[in-house]
Amino acid sequence: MIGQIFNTILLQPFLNALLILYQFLGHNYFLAIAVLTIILRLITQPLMAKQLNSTKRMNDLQPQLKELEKKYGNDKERMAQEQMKLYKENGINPMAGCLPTLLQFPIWIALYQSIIQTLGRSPLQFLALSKHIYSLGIFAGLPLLVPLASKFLWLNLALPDPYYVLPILTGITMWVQQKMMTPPSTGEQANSTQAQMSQSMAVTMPLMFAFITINLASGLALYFVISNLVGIAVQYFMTGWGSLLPKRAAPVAVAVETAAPVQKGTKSGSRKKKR
Amino acid sequence: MGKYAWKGAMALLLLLVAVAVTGCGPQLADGGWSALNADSSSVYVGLNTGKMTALAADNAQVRWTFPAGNDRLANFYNAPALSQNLLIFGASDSTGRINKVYGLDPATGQQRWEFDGVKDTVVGNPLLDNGTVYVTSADHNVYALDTQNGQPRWTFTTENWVWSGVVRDGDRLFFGGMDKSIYALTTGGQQVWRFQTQGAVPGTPAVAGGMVYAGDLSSTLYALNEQTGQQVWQFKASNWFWGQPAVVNGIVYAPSLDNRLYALDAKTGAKVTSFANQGTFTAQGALRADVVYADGTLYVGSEDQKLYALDATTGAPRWTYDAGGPILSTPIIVNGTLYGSTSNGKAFALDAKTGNQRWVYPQPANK
Repeated sequence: MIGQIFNTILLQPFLNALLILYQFLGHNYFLAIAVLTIILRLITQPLMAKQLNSTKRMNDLQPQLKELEKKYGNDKERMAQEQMKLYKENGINPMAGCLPTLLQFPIWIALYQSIIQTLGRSPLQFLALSKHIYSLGIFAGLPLLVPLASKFLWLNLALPDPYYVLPILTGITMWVQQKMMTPPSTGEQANSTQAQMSQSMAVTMPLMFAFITINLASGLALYFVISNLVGIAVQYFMTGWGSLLPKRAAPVAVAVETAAPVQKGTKSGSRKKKR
Repeated sequence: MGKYAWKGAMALLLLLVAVAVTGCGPQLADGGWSALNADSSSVYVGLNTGKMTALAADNAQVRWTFPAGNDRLANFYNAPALSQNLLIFGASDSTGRINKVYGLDPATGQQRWEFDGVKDTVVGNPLLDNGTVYVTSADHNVYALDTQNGQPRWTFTTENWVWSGVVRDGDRLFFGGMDKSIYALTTGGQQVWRFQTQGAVPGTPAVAGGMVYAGDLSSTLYALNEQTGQQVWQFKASNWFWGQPAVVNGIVYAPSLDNRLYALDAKTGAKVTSFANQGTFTAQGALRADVVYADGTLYVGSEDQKLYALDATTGAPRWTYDAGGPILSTPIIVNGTLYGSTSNGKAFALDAKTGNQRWVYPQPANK
């Protein structure tokens, strides 16, 4: 039931939109993926903006949260109460950062699935595709487009990139985007669990996706690269370079002072400041 | 929450993402639809265990499997071609990247030869014909192989994948191409004519009464003059045509992915209204498999997991068998027994007249 709803309102419109774009963009599947990814990125932009805003505000509260941790570290219940109070006072809903992300998930999964289905090469995949292509009225021409011409430059978009260019690009663009998404932090913030997690994610995620895309159809790798590039552009206009260029982004003297200990991963820097 | 707990949670998240991304990617290799062939002693079926398996026709005991040991094959889409001393089929290795045509001894499963010149999946059924086997591949080619050693006698290249099998009538060969064409070749591999269709042609044409019948992804069934390739009529369904039609007593029975089996006048393409519901029998799922005719009965498998036996004149169901899995491959009838398979890896034998099950493989676990 849920699957059917998902197919009807997300997967099928995206899949057919891809085919329509393919038709109007000179049977160039690369362009079709690029254009649809950009369109969807722009449509979901308000959600992204909300998410970034919420993350930024949460990040700004890190020093106060750290104080609370020092004060009530042993009393978990009180700690939670004080945290909620702090959020309330500052008009922050801790879940507000997650919600836009959750709302975007089905959209990206549907786009991902529609690329997989249109790039299908096996009879079983074609059988699945036959259930999702519109074929009535003005859409009657869409089934005539398959199988799609999936050659682009050196790539067969339905097969993995033989020269690993796209996996490397996926990793690099994802790393840049992750770094930009991480706001420049003060020493206190940088030592927080959240900041450490962000730093760790900024390395692990790109590596993992680069590794995964080695064996994926290059059309999907292409989708990751384009999606990341659009994300980088959007991020730049919203928050600048974030942690990608820390010197320019951290004008406060304290941040510079504490940068070295943070990079070394020691706690002495923050302790010194507290005293 | 401690630092290590966060790291653990993050690792779990990354693992989930990895599984979701890799698990959903386009695959080069799958089990295919377990196509099969049979003679009076054995049933030969490519199962999703990765093995071509010979089962005793009377009790489904495994006689041999190929390849031996831990090796596995994939993409069992084509029904093996079978003669007294040769079983020929195409399959991929477990990654789907290496494709071969195999010639085995049907009695023992020993390999006699292999042809590694195919560069993509073999979907269409190989056709054995007087020392030559015609094999098609998604590498755009049709191959005529010597059955003695598997070496090519000639190759005919099209402009896209070939998923159709080859049909021979007289000195002509016919097949459909995903390059939106129906081809007629000489047995020497020379093109006689090429008919341009609206959509790609995934299924094998049927040839009867001087006509060639084949359907495409534009949901159109074409009837062409066998000699000239000129269109005589066409018929439109509401989803793709894929399975090979059966032509019996001046009627074309054409299965479609719109769940319907159409009965059409072979000469005009008009619906034969005396068949089923105004010329149309409707199943609950897509009809991908070829239609088989024997003794006044049509047999067609459906994605709805059922095998339908229909009276060829009236279209009335004689019996229905629930196979417990989508039936996308074509059943075969030998000595009154119908052998079929499902795409989830089951083979079964039924009494062709009554639909009573004789055996199923693998045996369901005892409850």
